[in-house]
Amino acid sequence: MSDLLILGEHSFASRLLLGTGKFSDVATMVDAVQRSGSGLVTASIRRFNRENRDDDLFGPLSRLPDLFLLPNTSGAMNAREAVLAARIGRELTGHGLVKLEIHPNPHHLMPDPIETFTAARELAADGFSVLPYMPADPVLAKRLEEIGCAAVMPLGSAIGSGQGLATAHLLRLIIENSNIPVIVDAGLRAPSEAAAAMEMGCDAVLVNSAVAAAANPGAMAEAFAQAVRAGRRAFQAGLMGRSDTAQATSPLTAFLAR
Amino acid sequence: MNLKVNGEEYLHTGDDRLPSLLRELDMRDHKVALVINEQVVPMTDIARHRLREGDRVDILTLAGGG
Repeated sequence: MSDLLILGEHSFASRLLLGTGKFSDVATMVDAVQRSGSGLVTASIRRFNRENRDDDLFGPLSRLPDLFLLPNTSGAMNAREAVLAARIGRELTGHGLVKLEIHPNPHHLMPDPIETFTAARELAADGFSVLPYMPADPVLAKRLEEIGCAAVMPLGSAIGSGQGLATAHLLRLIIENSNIPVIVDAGLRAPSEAAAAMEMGCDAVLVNSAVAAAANPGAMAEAFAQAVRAGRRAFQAGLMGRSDTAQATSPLTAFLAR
Repeated sequence: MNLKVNGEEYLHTGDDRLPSLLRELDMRDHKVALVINEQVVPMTDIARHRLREGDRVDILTLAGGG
């Protein structure tokens, strides 16, 4: 049975998105990407460094088969800069999927909801499949859906913080009300948190630091892949209900006559 | 011709077409996007794009990121 993640015109077998930042070297990053089984990896847009040409990730990533590169707009301080970054990303990758992120404050890296909404509206009207990184706000999620975003990417907690699903109760509200995919992005630390997000009904998760900063990034990429699959399967299977009292699994009739 | 390339002053000695600058910068083996004065130059327009004195040329590629 196929269970594809659909983003705009594109579909993906894996529900794990992997970021490519913070890895100690390119070989470690490529190994983690391959072992994650992810079909969609994020990358940032930067000026080409002519003095250090090995910084260019485009070469090594574009040589991996069946991999889609998802440019982000990180570094943009406002909607205007993010729209330009998205257009650069489209020129580089040849497709219009973009992770829109505008987080001007380096202390908390919280997404600017107003600039994000403004840029998303312009990009969606221009034919982009916009995946906005956003605060875990159900109202904003609905507004981003209404203007034609391909998915929403609410945060579990602050980028790189490893605080896990601090916004769990809000993520549930977003998932319940959404007609587009919900991708939990940012803050995850352990594969169990990715599984929990998937059990909750989110459509995919994006991790970067949790893999890149692990003692063994390749092994952690595998662990996240398994957790995302387990969580998805559990969601499809339907979790049992909760009860405040015990519900016996064995018959309560006495097995010996008293 | 004086240009600003990736934020730095640059004296371009070739002709005023964009491929001449890319040759001079030895960029032909790299896939990059070009932004001139904050406007993306589509790949299909690069061959015929003419540079002007003082143009701000940004050469961009993908780097690690989440």
